[in-house]
Amino acid sequence: MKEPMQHLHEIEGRTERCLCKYCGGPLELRRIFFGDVETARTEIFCQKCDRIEYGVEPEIYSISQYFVKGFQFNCYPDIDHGEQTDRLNTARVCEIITWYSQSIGILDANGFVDDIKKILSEKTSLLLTNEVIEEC
Amino acid sequence: MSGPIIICHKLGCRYGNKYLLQDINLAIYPGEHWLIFGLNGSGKTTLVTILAGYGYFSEGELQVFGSPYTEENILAKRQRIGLVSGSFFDRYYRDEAVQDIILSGLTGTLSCDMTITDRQRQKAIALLDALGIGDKRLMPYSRLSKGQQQNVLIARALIAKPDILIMDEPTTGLDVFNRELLLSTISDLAQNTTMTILYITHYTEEILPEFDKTLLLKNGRIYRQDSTDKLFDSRSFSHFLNYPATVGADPRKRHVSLSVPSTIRELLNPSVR
Repeated sequence: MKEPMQHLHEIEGRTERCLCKYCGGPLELRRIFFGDVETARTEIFCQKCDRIEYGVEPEIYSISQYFVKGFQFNCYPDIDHGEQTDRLNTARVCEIITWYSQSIGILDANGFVDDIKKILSEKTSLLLTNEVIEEC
Repeated sequence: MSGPIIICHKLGCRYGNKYLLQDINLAIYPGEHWLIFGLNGSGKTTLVTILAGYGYFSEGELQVFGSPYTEENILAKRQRIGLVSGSFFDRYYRDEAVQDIILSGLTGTLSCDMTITDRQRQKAIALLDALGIGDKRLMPYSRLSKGQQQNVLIARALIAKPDILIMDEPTTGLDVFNRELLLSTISDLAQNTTMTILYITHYTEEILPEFDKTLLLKNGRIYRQDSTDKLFDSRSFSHFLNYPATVGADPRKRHVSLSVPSTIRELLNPSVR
């Protein structure tokens, strides 16, 4: 269980760093409820989508969007294809990659671990061998 | 925990000059099952959202699990309270995915986060299947019918196996099968767990025998609180409604009869007699 102030710091950091997993737009902190307790009334929000949103790392959003458009990935066959289904599908792929990255230990709520951040900042290719994962 | 699990003293909620709630004094003990009954606009949703840690109150004192809500404890306390309230959550949930809404019941916020485990995700899937909406797991909330949305909120409330379950008109929009499934679930939880349950309804047919205590709300104030049997007899209920009503004798199905004449048709066609 998270410490309460840790939760606030986490969502502040994610608001600055992450994107909406549906539209890729920027996020903002919004006071959702009226009240005195800051922890309880603040959520991350996407103004473009008009929804509460935990956010996704920009790198993950970028490759998810590529995957959906490049390979016509669609897990919503019951909905007419269009911009909305592209967004829904991108969000789903974002979740899968986020889950995978978290499961192998290279991603947490504060972003990619330091070794991965360094590699991403250098804009080099990343090959995840067992050695790289164990080092992280 | 030996003392009350929820205790309010002169609790009030005021916006501007208007009181939504006033002078609420209440003590609910662990394992009790309460019915909260009131007409439209009596303050029921306002009260339960405050008790669940999602609402604001301007006066009085509130302690849940032995202490007031603070920055340090509010998320942890919210995780121990399951709140089902379409009136409340429909203001905030639009296109969020069904699965994410359910998992948010584990975080105490309105969104899920990276503390969610695989086992919890599997539990969410199992709950959705049990409620008949497993195929809606990835759908946006707004795409669901009212009854399906209500089932999502029910799953959200139950996923953390709460100590306190608060259900605000939970059968709204449910078809006959899902309504009976929900009432059966509540009856089962009341009989076989130590869960404290608060149940809000407009409909006396939903007053299960397990709800042995009742709080009657009127115009934002407590009208009376007592045993359900005492409050739901014809004389007491008529006094509460300020209108003649007959309450059936069977405590398992409290049917209420009122005769309320309508003048709507005459207003629509004033020239037609």
